[in-house]
Amino acid sequence: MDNMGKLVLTLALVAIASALLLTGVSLWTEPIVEENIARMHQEVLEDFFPEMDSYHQKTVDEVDYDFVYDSEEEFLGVLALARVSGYAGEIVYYLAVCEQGTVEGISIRDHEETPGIGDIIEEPEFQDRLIGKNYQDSLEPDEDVDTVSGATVSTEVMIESVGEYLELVSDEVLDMGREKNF
Amino acid sequence: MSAWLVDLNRGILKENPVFKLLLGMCPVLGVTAFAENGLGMGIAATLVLICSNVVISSLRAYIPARVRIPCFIVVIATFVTLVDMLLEAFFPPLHDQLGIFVPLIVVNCMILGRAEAFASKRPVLRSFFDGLGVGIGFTFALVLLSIVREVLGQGTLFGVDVTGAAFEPMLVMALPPGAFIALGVLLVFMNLAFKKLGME
Repeated sequence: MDNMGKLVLTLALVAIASALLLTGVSLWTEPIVEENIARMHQEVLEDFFPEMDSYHQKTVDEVDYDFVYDSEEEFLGVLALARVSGYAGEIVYYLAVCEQGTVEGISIRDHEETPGIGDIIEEPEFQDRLIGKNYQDSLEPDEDVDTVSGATVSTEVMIESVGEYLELVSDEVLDMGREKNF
Repeated sequence: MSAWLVDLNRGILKENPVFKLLLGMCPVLGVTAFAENGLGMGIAATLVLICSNVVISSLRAYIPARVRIPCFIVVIATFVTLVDMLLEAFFPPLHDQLGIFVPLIVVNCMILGRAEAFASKRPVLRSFFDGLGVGIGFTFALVLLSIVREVLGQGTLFGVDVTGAAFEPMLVMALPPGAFIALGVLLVFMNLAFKKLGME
């Protein structure tokens, strides 16, 4: 009984010490990680909308959008923060759609796809297949847009997701942007 | 030769974890497509190894033998998580590249092996140098393999083009089969080298 108590106590103490240390470091690094994400967000906006002068953030139907305007308050397009279930985990990416409903750019923010295989979704060689597609275009995987063999699920999921977000955006979101209906 | 120097040297060549003991193969094969990643992983694993060796050695009098393995694993996992958090905050590109291989350091048997075979039985200073030596040996092996794989598979070294336009990279070297092949060939050369140095 005594011996069992000592075993449990030791293991518990080690685990508690570990938890405290990890909590402390986590509290310290969390703001830094958030800052990194915010910086990436800015860079993506500037990359895909070079004429951007201002932007307005709004959540519509649970999706976060940045409505982008140039220096003359002309509506340039939206940047959507998109999420989709990938092969290994959630894929979070930025989708830039110009005000005519055409894909300007894609930037993957987080993913858990297989390194060296599924992470081809980050490469221009795949993303270029979606850039320039309009919401009126058909986006059937392998019929209109080729998947990548060996990474079928990852690429198929991305193609379908971009198609869905294009439809979502073209319905009311682009109108909201044009009329500045916030 | 003083004990700590022996401890340091042992991990680098004589008992090199990759070329001699064939431990920690998963990251060795997984992250060595690029020299920068091999180096990053080696440094991360070395940090974890040193920290866990030191902590386990300091606590060796207090951890009962029957719960030692769970305790070691908690300690190792704590340091791996710390390294992961620090990488994510301060080196995001490297963190993205190494991805899931950083958490996998926890199950790198090289680290648990040193804890069990050495740190749990030896004083702190010697454990520190043992960890450092094994870590250097591991990093050396990783960098060597990734140099071979990057130059042959991509034509670059640490991202810098070293082969010129006429060279057609061997794609297989960047993929898992190439990793196995390159490692096998490297082991042959290392065995020959060890033989020559009289370190069989």
